[in-house]
Amino acid sequence: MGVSKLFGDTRALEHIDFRVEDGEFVSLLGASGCGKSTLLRILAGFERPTTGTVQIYQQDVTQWPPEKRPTNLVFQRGALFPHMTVRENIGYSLKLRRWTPSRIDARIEEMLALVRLDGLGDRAPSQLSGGQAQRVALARALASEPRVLLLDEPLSALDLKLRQQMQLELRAIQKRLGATFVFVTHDQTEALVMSDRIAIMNNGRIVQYGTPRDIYRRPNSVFVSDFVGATNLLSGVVGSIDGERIVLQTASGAFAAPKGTEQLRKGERAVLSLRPEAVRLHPGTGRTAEGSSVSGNIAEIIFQGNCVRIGTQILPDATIWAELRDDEADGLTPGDPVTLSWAESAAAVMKEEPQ
Amino acid sequence: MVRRTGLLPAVFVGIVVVYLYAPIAVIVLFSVTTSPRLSMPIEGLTLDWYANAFSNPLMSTALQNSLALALVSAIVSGAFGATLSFGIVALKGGRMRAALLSASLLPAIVPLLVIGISLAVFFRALGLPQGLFNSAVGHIIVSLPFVVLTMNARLETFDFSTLEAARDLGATPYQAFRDITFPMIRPSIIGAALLAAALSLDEFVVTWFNIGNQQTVPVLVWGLMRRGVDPSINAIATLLLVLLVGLVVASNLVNRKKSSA
Ligand SMILES: Nc1ncnc2c1ncn2[C@@H]1O[C@H](COP(=O)(O)OP(=O)(O)O)[C@@H](O)[C@H]1O
Ligand SMILES: [Mg+2]
Repeated sequence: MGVSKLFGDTRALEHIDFRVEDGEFVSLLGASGCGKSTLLRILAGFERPTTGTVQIYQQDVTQWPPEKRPTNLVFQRGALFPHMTVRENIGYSLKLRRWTPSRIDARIEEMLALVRLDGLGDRAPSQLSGGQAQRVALARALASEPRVLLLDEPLSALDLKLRQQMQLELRAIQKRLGATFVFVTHDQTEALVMSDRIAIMNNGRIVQYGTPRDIYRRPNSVFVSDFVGATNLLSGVVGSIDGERIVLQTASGAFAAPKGTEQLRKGERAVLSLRPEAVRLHPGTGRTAEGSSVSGNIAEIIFQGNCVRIGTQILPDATIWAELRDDEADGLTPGDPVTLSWAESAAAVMKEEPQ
Repeated sequence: MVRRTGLLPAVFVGIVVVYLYAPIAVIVLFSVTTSPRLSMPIEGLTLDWYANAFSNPLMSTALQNSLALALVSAIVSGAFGATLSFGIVALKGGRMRAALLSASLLPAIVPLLVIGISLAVFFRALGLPQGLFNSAVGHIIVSLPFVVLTMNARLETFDFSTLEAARDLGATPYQAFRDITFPMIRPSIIGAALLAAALSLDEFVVTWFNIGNQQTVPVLVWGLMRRGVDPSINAIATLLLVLLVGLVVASNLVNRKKSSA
């Protein structure tokens, strides 16, 4: 049953239809304002869908209030209770469930150890760093062992190092507990690193739902290939389709690619997507053995530390970016004539989207 | 940065300060001098006027009435104001919020004379004789806008997502209020209630129209003044001053402590 949500005239969600398996780590990935939080809040019970139903473990919970649902939410900015200590924050859900004090204490210690905050139990939330506060929020949400944990951009306020560390820790905690996690983020790397499956959202819809590899290698739309990782896009017209191979006629030549899941017809306008790291670069303009190739002149070289991105102008209005290891780019300068090549299987053809 | 140390601004500030505080200083001073008349030079110091004031039976009843009114104002205004303010802030923008806010602040700009007379007329129409109850109603009306104003300032920073967090963790709406909302806004309520008490203690106009033949401290002082200046008035005024300053300072401290946490 598709879920949709309207705020007055604003359509925040449109016919969302997705299912999460028990014990899975699923990310909702999309730009800010695309409806990720709204979807999460519908799952948590803070918003009622305008149409559609929510089921958790075969039970229709659409009309259930948040306190009845087997879900806990980790809020974007923690939402810790400022008048309680870390310990009291973590134990709050257990107190509501009338656990005995000794059981609560044992559980709090367990949770503090899980999020590596042993010894900080008696601090007030105002005495914690951003990362520590976020971990307390996580511990608080996990203490009552929810079957489903919902996380709304819990790492977005942290700096890069801490964020990367927390990504791995969160993932490890989820695997250890075997709980189902639904994780909201606008950071594609984060989603790729952590998830079993990713749902890409755009304008209140889920546009693709699949494993990180699937999404990265076989994006089903220009939007997805552009949003997840960097990509080169060349537009053209479908020339021929035979078996598993599709050929696209573009202004800079004909390029073949594996036939994707999308239904394309001969003569239709389409776009070829090519990841920069799949592009190889050879000095000079000679032909190469590899599948597809095109020549041009280097327009720009951008040093990025672990790699170098090189933009090659193949037409006055078309640049293809290649990503090389730093040492591979030694001796290249802007203006050099080069030939670019890539394996046929590295390219993907998809429908052109009306802008 | 240029620091101007001109003489003129200093003199001007001096004049304003003297203008503001000289009358108060005079009263405090004469409440402890032996001379029964307000005159210089000072002959000696005494606490007789305080003893005098308290030995007057009218004074002790008036003080009791004043304190009772202050207490009622603090409790009722605090509770009403907190509820109103919380509701207004929870509305998060919109025309409704603006309208409610204006409505709750309006009594602050309606002349006290108008409030006093309307209440008197209103109670007469209801057939209620003048008295302490009527005055209490007036005090609550007068102090409510200030309670709402101070509460709003504090609640602007209230993180409503903590309430959602509580619900999410299994709290019913009532439990979320008991465990989260109330403990978090309690200092603001106490601060606002202290302010309401202070406003009630020195309220005169509305009280005078509604209290009938009973007396509060300000009403008593006004009556005494009509019979000539009695030095014990200075003592009463000084006591009132200390009480009010104490309440306002306490009100600020309670709020400050909360916001620095
Ligand atoms: N309470 C609300 N009232 C009105 N519009 C809202 C409300 N919450 C969200 N929206 C709108 O719904 C859309 C999706 O918001 P949200 O789910 O917060 O996006 P995201 O979390 O992906 O950034 C946005 O256009 C936002 O302005
Ligand atoms: Mg959001």
